[in-house]
Amino acid sequence: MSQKQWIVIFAVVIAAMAGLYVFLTHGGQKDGRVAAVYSGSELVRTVDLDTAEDQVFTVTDRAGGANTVCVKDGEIFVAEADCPDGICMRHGPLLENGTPIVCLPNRLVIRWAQSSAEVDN
Amino acid sequence: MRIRRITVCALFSAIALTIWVVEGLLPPLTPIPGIKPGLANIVTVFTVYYLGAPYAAGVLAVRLLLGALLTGQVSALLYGGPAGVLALLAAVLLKKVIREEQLWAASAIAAVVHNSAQILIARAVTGTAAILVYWPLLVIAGIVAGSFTGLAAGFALKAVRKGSGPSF
Repeated sequence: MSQKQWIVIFAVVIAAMAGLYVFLTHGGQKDGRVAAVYSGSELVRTVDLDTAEDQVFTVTDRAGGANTVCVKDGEIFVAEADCPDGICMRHGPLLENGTPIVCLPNRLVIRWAQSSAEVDN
Repeated sequence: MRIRRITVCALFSAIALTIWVVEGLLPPLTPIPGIKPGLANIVTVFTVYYLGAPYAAGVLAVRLLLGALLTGQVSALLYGGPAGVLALLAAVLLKKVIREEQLWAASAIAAVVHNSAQILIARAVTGTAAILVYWPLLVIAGIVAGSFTGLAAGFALKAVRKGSGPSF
């Protein structure tokens, strides 16, 4: 294969992935604006952002890593974390058609709740 | 010349480790988990094409283990360890079909393998399928970062092959 062919292949893959990303973040039915906070595979709590009062709570991983989650003006975000990279803080609030908030070192995930069963919990 | 090769490997390991630690000190480029320039892989890719798979495996193992020990980031080993091994495997196989002049392409594919493995590990660790929406972004980042590190390794290899560097 020539250099040009490689460049074309990679360009096509990049375009396809960009399309897939837009499709994934815009698809799916959500039940209102309910955020689900996971530590590992365990659902720690759900927060209905339309009705929730402003609050701050800390999620502690079983390994001891801690993330301080903040709910303010109908938005949820990570205010403080003891992970090395702080990517969860840089993510900012959970957006309507955005990506979930992830802290890989502390195994924390904050995402939109998808089923009403999840919301009931 | 086996001793010479082993000594050179130790040198490459030290270079890779230094690059990895310094890169880890920089703030993340994007708020997307798992995206890094991966500059230490310039050394890994270079070693795969220059000395072959066993030596590259040694350089990678030293960098992963000592890197986790030096920085205390065990989670880096958990996510990056298996991903790094798979990416090395991919690079070694790709070396058979991709010529040295195009090693940047092999590097890009290996980086995509690394990032894909990493998101699958993260999916298993967090138990949350929702984070897979990051996968397309990680593929794009892998192509960009892998091409860049591959190009850099290619330039280094060219310089050494020309005879301006020592022969092993």
